[in-house]
Amino acid sequence: MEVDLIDLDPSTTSVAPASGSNNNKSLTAHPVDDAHPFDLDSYILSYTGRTAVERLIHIIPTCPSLAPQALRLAAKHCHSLRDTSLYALAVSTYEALPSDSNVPPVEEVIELDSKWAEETLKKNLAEKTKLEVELKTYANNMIKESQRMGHRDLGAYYRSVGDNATALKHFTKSREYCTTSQHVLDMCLSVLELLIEQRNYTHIPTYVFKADAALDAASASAAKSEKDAAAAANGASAAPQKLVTTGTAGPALKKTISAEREKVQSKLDFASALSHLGQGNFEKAATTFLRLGSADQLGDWIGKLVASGDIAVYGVLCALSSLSRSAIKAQVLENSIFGVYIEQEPYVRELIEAYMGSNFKAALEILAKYRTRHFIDIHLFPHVVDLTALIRNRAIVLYFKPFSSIKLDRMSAAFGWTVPEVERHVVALIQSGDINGRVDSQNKILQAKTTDHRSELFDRAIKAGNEMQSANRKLLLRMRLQQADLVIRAPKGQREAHPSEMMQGD
Amino acid sequence: MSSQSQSNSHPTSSSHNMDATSSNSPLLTLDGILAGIIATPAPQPAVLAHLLRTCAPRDVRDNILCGTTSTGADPLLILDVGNPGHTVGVLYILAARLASTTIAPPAISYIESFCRSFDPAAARCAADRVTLVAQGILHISEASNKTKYALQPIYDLITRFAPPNTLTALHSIFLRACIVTGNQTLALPLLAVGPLSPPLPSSPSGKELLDTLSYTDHLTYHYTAGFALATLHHWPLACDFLETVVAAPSLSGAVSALQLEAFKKLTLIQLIHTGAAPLPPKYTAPLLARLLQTSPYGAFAKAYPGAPSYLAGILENERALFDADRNTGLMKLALGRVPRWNVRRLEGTYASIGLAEAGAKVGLDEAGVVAAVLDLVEAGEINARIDPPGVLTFSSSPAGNKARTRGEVDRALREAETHAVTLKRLEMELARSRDYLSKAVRNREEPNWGAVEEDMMFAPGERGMASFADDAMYS
Repeated sequence: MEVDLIDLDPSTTSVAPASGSNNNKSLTAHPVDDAHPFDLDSYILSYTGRTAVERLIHIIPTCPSLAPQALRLAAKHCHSLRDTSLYALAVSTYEALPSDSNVPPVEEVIELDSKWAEETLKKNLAEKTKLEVELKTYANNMIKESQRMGHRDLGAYYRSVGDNATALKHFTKSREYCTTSQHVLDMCLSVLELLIEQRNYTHIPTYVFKADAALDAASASAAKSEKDAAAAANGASAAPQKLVTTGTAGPALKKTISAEREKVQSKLDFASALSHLGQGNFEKAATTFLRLGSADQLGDWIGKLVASGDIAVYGVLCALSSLSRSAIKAQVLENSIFGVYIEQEPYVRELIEAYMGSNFKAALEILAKYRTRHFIDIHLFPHVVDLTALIRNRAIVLYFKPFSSIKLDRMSAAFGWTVPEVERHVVALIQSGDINGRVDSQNKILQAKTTDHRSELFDRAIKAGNEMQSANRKLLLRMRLQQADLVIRAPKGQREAHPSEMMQGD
Repeated sequence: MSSQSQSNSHPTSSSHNMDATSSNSPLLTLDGILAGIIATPAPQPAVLAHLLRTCAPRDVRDNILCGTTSTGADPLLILDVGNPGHTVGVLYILAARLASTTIAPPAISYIESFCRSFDPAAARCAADRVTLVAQGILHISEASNKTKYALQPIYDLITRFAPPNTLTALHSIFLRACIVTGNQTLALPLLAVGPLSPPLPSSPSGKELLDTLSYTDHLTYHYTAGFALATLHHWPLACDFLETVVAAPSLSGAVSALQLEAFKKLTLIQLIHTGAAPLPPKYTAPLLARLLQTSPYGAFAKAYPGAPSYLAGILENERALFDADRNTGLMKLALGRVPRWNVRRLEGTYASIGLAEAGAKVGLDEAGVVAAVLDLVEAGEINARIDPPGVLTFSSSPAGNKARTRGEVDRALREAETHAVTLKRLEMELARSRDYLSKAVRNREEPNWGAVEEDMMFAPGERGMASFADDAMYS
């Protein structure tokens, strides 16, 4: 019976989020136990709609121990949606779990609801036909605004059934019928939502850029039109009075406009931050995440795309991996807006505090403890290993900075590693140029390099002088060759004679 | 060969000028020519050289010069090699005799004594004949399978004939002979001064010397010099020579095959010498760099000094190519020095390390590490000692940062000063040169005229050549 369900609509399965099927291969299973706490129920409560299901589907192969629960939740969430392919994907992901993961068969976990699937498909088809007919009518009537709305609705429909490519086509098509910059802005935001859902990070900046331009234009025109309206309302009253009224009306008006603007700006900031993260650009991602507006400015994106706790995790991990201590202090600890996000994930605050307090062992332990939580995140999981390595390297560099020499076993106590492990990390960092020191492998001591700046300066000056002289000599020789016209020429035809001599002979 | 085309290119009609000043007919016999050479007061070498060059068509003249006097005497014995006034005459007769296929060449002892005692200033007036003589000497010694005997006379010829630090056509002839006979050390005094520059057209007899030179002479000399030095393991100097070839100026991006060969050798020698192949100078033809990058040499240099197994794999897979290029030996040398660079890298990372541990890291056994360390210390590249036994300890100040003595600093300052003076003088020379001034004045007076003129200048003329050369100069 479940086979029937999967076969119901092979067309949509093929266009189902490609990332979903990609994930299965690269993922390794992560445990959930006392050492790696994770509460699926409370986690998934923060999400609604498609993203909840997609996250659950990601969890199935990542944490096989949670798989049955995740599948059950996914099925529950699916019923409130209209995308049967997502449902099928959840089931097939579950079935694709390796046999040694000891999960009960699908039938024991959920009851496959083919009736729901059939009905939904039927409803979807009806809706699609209705929208397409509407669009055709609008096209015949040549009313731009209606056509825009027609495309927008169709885009939203395709998005809800999981056909992202067609949805994108309709959204971009609606661009042609946009008459105001507000429309363009709406279109860009819809596309961004779609792209974030698709995890198409490279594409995001294009639309952020377009939306930025539209946002400027939209707020400028909004300000202008409201000003005009205010001026017209006051036009009848006396001139001095008018000055006063516009003076008072101005700030209030500006406030609403700028509030609206900030909301959109926050969304755009979030989108670009996520795209930086997606492309492994951690420093840019960190600074963008850290200047995000408050959670309510992100509006319905919280829950629909991301949870505010996620923003805290992304921001802090990126910041720890790429920003300097002072920057972390200024941009994370003293940032009241971002502080609100951090409250959503208390362990993140512990992590920053341990890191800033140079308690690197604790910081690394927290990172290890919440590994599963990080690997479960659909945006973060490809970067967890890199981020952890970067944070670890920065920690080692920071730890060594104040010392001129330190015993490796002391470092090993501070980081909770064995001495050979410490040595391996330190040697790698020295060779990459991050630590300016040398290892005394015999006595297991790390020593800072001492440089005699005076002799180094002499060295550099003499070296630069020599280089310059030799470069000049070469250039002068080259000049002499050109003066003497001893210049390489392409052979002309069959002639063997050197044109240079012909010229000299004249 | 080049000088022959040169002497041919002189129109025989110009000898009409001579008819006015001297009678033509007596010169057309050897007696007449000898009389002209011995005449008192002795003629100026330049005048005599011109006279001999233009007295008759080349083959006729050389035929006469190969003969004997009317009394049957050998003209070479009549002339005195030690007499500066006779140098030009002897040169002409020697060149003709050496080139002739019918007459027996002059005695080697005569040639040797000439090469030791000729007058350089006079010989420079007949530079093309000097080249011919050198070629002739090489030719007859090769014909008798005694190439070695040619080396000393040609060496004498060069040291006396060539102005200091100046490239002549003789250099490449000599160097090739040295390499063929395996006597590269003989050339060391010549090579020690580094790459040679061509004579200045404005210097005395610079034009005559330049006439005997072609760009291939410059490429061949510097390439063979680099090659000779590489066989003697004089790496830094070899790099200098080969780089000169690689960065040789060219017209509209033309590239010589010799340049690519030089570039391959240069890359390998740099790997051997410094452990890395830095980028060639900016003005190197981009095509060359591209050709090398895409060749197995490029791959080898890029991976160097990485995993020896990978590098050896490149050598093995492309063996035929490297053999054909005759670079397998250099490749093997480079490959053999990979552990050495890895040992050198240890200095930056470790203050002390056990020999066994170090060996495990660089892929050598303990004895190998010791050998590499000794080699590096000897070369002054690292500052290390093996103490206590079995432990390699690097000194706290790396070898690169050795303290400078006051003398060293003073010397560097003096060098920089002389260098600055030279540059200043050159700049002033350039600023008052005719080419530069005429260009500058032209641009100032009529900014548009230059462009129009260039458009119209398709006819090859005196000016066309001048602007052609200028373009090349500033390109």
